[in-house]
Amino acid sequence: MNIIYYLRDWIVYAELWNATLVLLALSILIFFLLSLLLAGYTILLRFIHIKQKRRWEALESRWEQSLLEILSGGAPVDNLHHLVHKNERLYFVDFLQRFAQLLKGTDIDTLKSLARPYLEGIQRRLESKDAERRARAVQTLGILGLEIYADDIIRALDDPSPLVALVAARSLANRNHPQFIKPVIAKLHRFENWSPNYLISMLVSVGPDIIPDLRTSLTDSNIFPDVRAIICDALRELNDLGSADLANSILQNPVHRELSAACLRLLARSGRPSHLETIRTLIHSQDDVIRIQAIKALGQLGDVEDRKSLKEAILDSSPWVALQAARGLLETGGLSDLKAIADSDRERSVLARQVLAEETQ
Amino acid sequence: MPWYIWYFLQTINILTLLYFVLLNFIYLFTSLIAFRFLRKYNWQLKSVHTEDLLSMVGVPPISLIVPSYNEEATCVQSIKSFLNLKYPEYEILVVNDGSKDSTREKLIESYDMRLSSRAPIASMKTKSIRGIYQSKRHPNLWLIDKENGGKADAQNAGISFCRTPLLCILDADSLLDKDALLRLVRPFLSDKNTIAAGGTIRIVNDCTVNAGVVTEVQLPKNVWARFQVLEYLRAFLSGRVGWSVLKSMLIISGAFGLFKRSSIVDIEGFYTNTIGEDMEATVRLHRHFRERKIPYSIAFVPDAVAWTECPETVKILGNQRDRWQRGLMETMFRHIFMLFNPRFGRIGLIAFPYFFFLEMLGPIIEILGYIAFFISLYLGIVNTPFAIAFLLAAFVFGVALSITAVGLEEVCFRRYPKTSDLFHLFYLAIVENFGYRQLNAFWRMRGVFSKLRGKKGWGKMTRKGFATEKPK
Repeated sequence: MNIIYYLRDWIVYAELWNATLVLLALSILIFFLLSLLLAGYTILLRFIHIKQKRRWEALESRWEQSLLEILSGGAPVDNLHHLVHKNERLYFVDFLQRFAQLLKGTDIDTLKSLARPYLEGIQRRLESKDAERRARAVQTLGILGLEIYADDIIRALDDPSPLVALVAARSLANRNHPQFIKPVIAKLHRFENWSPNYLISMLVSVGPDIIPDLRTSLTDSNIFPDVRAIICDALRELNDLGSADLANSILQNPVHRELSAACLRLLARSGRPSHLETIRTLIHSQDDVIRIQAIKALGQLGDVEDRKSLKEAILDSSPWVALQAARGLLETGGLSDLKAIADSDRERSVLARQVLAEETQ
Repeated sequence: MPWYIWYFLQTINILTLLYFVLLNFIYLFTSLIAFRFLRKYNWQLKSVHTEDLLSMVGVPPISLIVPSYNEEATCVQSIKSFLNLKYPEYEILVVNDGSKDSTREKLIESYDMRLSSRAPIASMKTKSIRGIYQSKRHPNLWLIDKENGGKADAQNAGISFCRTPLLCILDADSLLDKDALLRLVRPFLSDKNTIAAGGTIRIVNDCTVNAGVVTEVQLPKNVWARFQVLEYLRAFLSGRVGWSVLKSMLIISGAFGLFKRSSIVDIEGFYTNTIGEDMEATVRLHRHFRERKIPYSIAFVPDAVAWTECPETVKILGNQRDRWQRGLMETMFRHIFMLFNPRFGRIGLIAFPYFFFLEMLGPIIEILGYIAFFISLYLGIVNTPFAIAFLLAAFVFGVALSITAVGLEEVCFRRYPKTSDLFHLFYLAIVENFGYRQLNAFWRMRGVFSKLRGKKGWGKMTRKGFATEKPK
């Protein structure tokens, strides 16, 4: 009871209010100062940005004219170096990097030679504790100095930050240097959280020169099946006809859903009638994902004999399978069958009409 | 004075004080987190080239689902904006939800749309479909004409016909930045567990729009719209960025949100019996994935921007806030099972209680607090220095938080290029505390009563259309 009386007195006789008043007064002071500081900081930021923008524009206008002269062969490279002061080196590399993203061929080599004297400063940034800074350094070195700093970038594939590792992988996936892709393929498992589509795109950007390496990795059962699925999809995007047999042999003993689906996608694009046997065994798979891809592949490669299976698949419980089957029926010359379904009042008649409408577009 | 009245008033005063301290502490906390994140994000943005994504072979195709109800003033411009997006592969499904005006006719005429066939892929229960049209000029533009069933029903109809791995929910009165989709898709590329991502909503009133693209950003002339600019900055840059960093985002705005199609189909689409369908769906996604222990991520992308027209009259603005409050209450009570439930991790223990006690019950506490406070002052229960200190604290806290939001905008985006706009935002941060904030609390309190009375529906929103650039 004493505690209750004590609390009551504490509230009634204003000790609570006095204490709160002090706290409120303190917090008003803190927040008032904070507001002033924040407002000042924001205004300062605005003026810094305006100043930076002006400085950047001035630097750009100073360098751009000389750069264009150098790129057109009208002036030696040294002309521009004279215009870069010591405290402007990083700006200059940034300037070249932005240009490099717009240019191709020998112009890029010119930019690289212009950047070369300043890249050591960027290389030192690879030791930075800040992952963002390391990532940016890898990116710059990848664009302007891949040939010289390739070892550093390959080492960055093992960086503790996944962002740095991925930027390194992107830099190494270079169409002009397919030799650097091997270490990237070996480290693909590091990027398991990234979308497979992104990784496929990265591999494909290197071009057909990497096909032999990809084929070797596709058949290597020591590599994670998820990674092999990505490799298989990359081979499909590269339209590699030769890997169809490899995909077919993997499907003889399917062990992994994503890998099997990727193999079926590859067969749908690059397969031959000799692969039909394998595909036919998978069109009744219990797994929707496999069934969709198998029916799609059957639609692409199948013949008159397969129309019956495709017609049945139009009634599949999965609308995705039904859609692929309807498209497949059309591909295998079953136009009249599809029209008959479209004109009927059967369950998938709207779907059949949709596929017929797509055909006329 | 009877002792129980004295205790009652003091209890309300203490409760208000606690609410006030806790709310501002959380706002400050999320603002600080947002500040740290945005500074880092600003660095990241410098090394991101959205053009790279355009050339990707495997960038996932997206369906834009645009529910439309009586949108004749803005729908043609909005669709134009959606047709001009930089994205390799996307289609637009406009769902006309039984509009009573000429939305359907305008779209058919403007985009040369013809009756077509398209089969639903998911089997969502929706009001019946009257017809499906496809544009002759833009084959990726579809119009699904259906009977009126509400916004969520229209969204579900769009989801039924969606056949891409990702779907983007938009408002028909919104405009998107050209690269908004490219930016919003990034979390889906960098984390395969991403199931949803929300973008920033900004106010388009009095900005210049050319061919569906916002070409010149400026503060609105209307004072109510100006206050909302500041509110949106606070809500998105301080609030959502902060909650997103804490992996506790409970709202993906229905005006601009990207979802993994399979996830939204798994939860059977948007719930039709609520007016806060966007928040309800986000909470249900959390619940679905946490109950099944499936790893997932819901992200917020501050640089992906959609522009929307905000109300410019007190009546419509009041109705909007009334509706938001009702939507919030419906979601909170529908999922009250999650409140302080450790099974839902940080969602059940932090985010849900915050929205329940501070956002949902906030206006009740605030209005009761104002009343009790002035009665206490009149009766001499609270002494004058304390009263002044409390009001001053409320004012200074409010100003500090708003200025933080303006600062965050300056750190990362600087979408208001005129320095005078910056000073005007500071001015708004001060004056909004004298009337606008209280009015907001009153509207939300009214929303509580509307909900208790069982009020349903959206109320009317008048659109004036976008300010188009004059030919030079």
